[in-house]
Amino acid sequence: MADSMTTSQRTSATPVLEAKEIVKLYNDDVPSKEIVRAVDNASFQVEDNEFVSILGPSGCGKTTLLHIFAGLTKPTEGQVLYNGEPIQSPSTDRAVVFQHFNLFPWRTVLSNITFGLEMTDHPEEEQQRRGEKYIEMVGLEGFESHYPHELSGGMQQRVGLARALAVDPTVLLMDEPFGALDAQTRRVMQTELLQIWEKSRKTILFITHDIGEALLLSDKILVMGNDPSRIKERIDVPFERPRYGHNIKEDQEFVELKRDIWDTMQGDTGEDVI
Amino acid sequence: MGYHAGRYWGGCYMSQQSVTNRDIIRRDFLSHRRVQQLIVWGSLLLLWEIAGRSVGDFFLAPFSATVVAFIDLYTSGVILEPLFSSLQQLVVGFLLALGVSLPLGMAIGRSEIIKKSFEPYISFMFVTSVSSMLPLLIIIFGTRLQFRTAVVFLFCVFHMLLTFQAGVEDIDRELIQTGHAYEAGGTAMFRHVIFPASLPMIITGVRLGIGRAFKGMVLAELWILAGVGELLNAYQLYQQIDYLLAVILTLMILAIFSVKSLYWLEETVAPWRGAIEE
Repeated sequence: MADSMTTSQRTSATPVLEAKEIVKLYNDDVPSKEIVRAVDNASFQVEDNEFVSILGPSGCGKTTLLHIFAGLTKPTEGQVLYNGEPIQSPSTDRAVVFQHFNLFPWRTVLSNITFGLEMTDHPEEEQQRRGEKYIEMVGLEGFESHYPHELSGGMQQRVGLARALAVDPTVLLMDEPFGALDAQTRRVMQTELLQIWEKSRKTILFITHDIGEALLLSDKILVMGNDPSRIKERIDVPFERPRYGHNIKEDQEFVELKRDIWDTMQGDTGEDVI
Repeated sequence: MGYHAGRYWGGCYMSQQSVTNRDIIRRDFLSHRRVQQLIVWGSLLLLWEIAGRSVGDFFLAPFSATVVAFIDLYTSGVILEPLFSSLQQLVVGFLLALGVSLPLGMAIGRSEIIKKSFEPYISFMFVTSVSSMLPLLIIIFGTRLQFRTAVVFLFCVFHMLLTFQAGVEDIDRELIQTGHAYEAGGTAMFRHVIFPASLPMIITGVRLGIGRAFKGMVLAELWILAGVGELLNAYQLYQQIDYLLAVILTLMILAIFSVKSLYWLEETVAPWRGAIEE
């Protein structure tokens, strides 16, 4: 299924991100342990300005896939390309927003946001300017000199998002960024991400296990299974943008799509539909 | 529980208010930290005074006599020279130990290869009693400053090293990953991620090391009769228990002061520490 998908999607322009038959094994060099197939033969492309979600149950290797694109880990087999070039190492061209925020507790909000700029040797005034710009974008004015532990989870992830946006990346890699937040904060953050995305139209690869979240945010959803960890289905999300400002989740089509995806995912895990 | 219940009932029943209010004041007074400390220390000093007076100066000088001796030690200047000499070797030995253990401990914490090559020796030295090596050290270094410095060094170097190593090993892997994701290279990674992340444990190690350094200092000096150790030995010989206790008091005050100031330093440079440990 994964193979037919790539052939049908082949376009003349080079995709921003491309996975070519990626396999990722863990413990393959430890004889005493059982080999874990975290990703099994995944192939797909992410086009420029596209919002693509990888949707799957926990433990299906979707975070591994994101780390491979980030350059934080290497695939065992296959190729990952960024603008047609193999990905060798991490780069702020592909900025990561982490599930557990991963803010540096000894840095203030502002200096957490400018961390990437500091590492890539941007001049101080530029750091200051962009830091202020993105603090405003994520609505954290007044919290510049607070420390992360003084902020709520939602605010911490705003800092995480601002840190990623501040390096002006081509691609945002988001690893279940709202997974650790409560339901209400998650909804607010989803809406704000949509608003920010409308403005900047970055290419986004978004990892989630939440079907509704994937449908609400993305142009394209790749449904991953658990055993084996393959991409089972590719869905083009038909809803018009902008998608905030009205309750899209109550649309008949939304509900039907959600149920279809749910069925696909259930068929895989073998659990009963509740 | 009782405290809260008292407050609650006091609010509810007007007729009982006068009784419960007094109760609350008494409890509030006793629950104050300073008051508790005062009671604990006061009774300890009182016990000391009573015990000292009942067994006599020959065995245990009372608290009041110790205070008098303590003041005399400083006004006469008897303690100043030995104390200065002791602290000098303490500082030199401690700084040498810090200079070795900080880079080595962090390197061991970061690199599997360095860990494999050093760990056996360090674990071996860590469990070995440094005191048992003192006769050997006297043969090697003689009884000059090198010996005292070496003892202080050996007393604190392994504890600090293992704490620094643990500090680096315990760094949240996700923070290092975040550093990588935002292009922090070797030096920047160390400066902006690894060092600040292990800073709380580094301060803990230094605190531990200072406590150990004081122990090593006194032990070495008791062996070769130098500095404060010589003073302690002399007061013991001449049965001047009040002066003996006054010297011990000096050492305690110095050790407590150093450790406390490190707590303060920690709160100043790493106010976020509590948040990490939660």
